[in-house]
Amino acid sequence: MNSSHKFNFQLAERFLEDWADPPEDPLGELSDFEMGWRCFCFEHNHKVFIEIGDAQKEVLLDPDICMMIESNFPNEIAKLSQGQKIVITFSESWFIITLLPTDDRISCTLSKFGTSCWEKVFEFDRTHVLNTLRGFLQEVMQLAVDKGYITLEEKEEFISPAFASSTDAAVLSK
Amino acid sequence: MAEIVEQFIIDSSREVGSGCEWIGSGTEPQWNNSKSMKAYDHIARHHGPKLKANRLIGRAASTNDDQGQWLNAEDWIVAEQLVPKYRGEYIIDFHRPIGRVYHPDLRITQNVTRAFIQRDFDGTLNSGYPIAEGVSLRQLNRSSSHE
Repeated sequence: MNSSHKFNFQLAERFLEDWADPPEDPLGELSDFEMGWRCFCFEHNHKVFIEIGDAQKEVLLDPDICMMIESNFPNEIAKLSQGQKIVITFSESWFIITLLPTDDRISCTLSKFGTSCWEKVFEFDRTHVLNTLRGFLQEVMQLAVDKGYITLEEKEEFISPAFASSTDAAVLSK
Repeated sequence: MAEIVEQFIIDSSREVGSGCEWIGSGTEPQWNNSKSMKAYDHIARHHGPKLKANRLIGRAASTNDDQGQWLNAEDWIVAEQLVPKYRGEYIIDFHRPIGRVYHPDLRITQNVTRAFIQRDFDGTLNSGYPIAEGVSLRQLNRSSSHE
């Protein structure tokens, strides 16, 4: 296991290639917030660089980050802060990140699947990982607000579970 | 008869998907309608049968990853009904042609019979695409067993 300081999710430059159809909702199933979020990711697509130790992965807002955040991401951050294991799946990019908290550290396994498979295991400071995930969530959701796709109230309500975890300190003190 | 050939279950504590209690936001999706964007959005938009080939070719070349395309949207519904009702990743073999795969080297494999499916926490399929022979989830299960 490698101990490292490099655990980072970084919103990078715009991605202008057109690889997918625009979001639609012909059955009227999605809320304004859900539709706004998907349209933002599609119409303002960006590259996102994920740095985990010496491994670097490049993903996109649409589809990778869009799907990550739709998958209950604020609640997943809350679970992690409470000492539970979480799995972040980037199925469109064929890799998975597993985060397993132990005391004030987090074991991070980066697993590649598909035709070539490998894994790398790292260990990070728990607070650093939580701050990174919370900061990235806040940044991308605020950009969707700034571009007019979701409201500030919708954003605050959606991300609140990730920041409501007053249990961080309690868990660490055990 | 289609079958699950590999699986990586993330959460076996709660059953989710069609026929189960809906735990997602808003109203339950129309599971039996392939146009349900709530249940199948990313599958349709990124791997649907109507997607133009140049988009998949470009994506495969740029990402250096295979890109699968479904032949028939109704097969998403079959997949949803077939994969276990747990959040996780699955490989299904339909034992009949269900799609094609665009490779980074510009090759195209036609008439593949297998698909990768990701079931989300609320049971919706947030990712799913046809895959070529040789794709495996074995590493995920191996990694999980290390913890």
